[in-house]
Amino acid sequence: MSRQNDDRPYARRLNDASLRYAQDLLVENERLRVSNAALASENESLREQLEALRGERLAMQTRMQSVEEESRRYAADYVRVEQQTNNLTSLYVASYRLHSTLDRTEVLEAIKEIVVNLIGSEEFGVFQLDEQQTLRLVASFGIDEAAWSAAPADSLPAKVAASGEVHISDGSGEFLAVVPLRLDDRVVGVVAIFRLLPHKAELEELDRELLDLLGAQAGAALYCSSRQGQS
Amino acid sequence: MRKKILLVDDSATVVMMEKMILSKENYDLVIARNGREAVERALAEKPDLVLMDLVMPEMNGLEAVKAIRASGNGVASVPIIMVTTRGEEENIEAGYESGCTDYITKPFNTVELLTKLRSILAE
Repeated sequence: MSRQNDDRPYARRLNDASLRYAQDLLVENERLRVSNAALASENESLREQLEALRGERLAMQTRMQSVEEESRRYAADYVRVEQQTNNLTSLYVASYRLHSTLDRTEVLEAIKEIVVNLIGSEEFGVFQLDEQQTLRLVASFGIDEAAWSAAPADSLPAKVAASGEVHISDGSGEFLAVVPLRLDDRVVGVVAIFRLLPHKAELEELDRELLDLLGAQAGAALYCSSRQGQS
Repeated sequence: MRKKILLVDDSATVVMMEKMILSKENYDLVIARNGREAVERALAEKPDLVLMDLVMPEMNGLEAVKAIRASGNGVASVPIIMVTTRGEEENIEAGYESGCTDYITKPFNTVELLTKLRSILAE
């Protein structure tokens, strides 16, 4: 109905319009209430999702830490195994080199190479007992050969040859290590190490094992090569 | 493709050590016993890397490195690791001045050697 044809009194028309407006507001309010409820529900759902994701992130962080820890442990194990392999390889090579020949010169060369390259010294002498039980220098590196051609009876190499006991010092004395070379139960010579290479601070576990190996095997190798030379 | 490594050392003990360590890593190995032989083998074999001793008869490691670098051949830029008992500062400097890529002192640590070697070969 057009306004011109609406012959209702103004107050009535105003009242009706207000009523419609109020009804519209109620409808709109209801719509907003429903929408608000939906948003609240969605908000709750998102909150739950967020909590779940936070939990998942925490679980992943924990898992990642665990994997990193495992990885570090594997890396340490790998280094340890590599080092053990290295040690075994050094011992194998040293042993192989000592027994791969009956040529006395080559045996002495092998002993020198082991001390220089595997233990790390360029100041040492290899002594062998002669028939008079005098320790004679038979190979050396970086020492005064004339001064040490025969080890004096009161020298540390002679004492080690007499006692059969390995001598290892802290590096403060004239000798860092003197190792008796054995054949069965008797001593046939010694390896006397004066000093290590400048960049090598001290004897390590592997060096002690190599010295043990020299003590046990170099004497036999020297003896066999000497016998071979005489025959 | 398997990488080829030239081992240069006059010590049979060191060569045997290096061979045992590297053969299980699946590298092809070529051996030279002195610097002169090292240059010849490097030019002929074109290795991917060289482990070079310093003190050797006939031609030392420094001279060999310089000769390889000056060869003008495809091998001139090959990575060369100096492996030597000479750990003094002046020797290390001389090694790098000669053109070596890296420097390791003997007795060498296997882990260090393999780490450097793998890193250089991966580049």
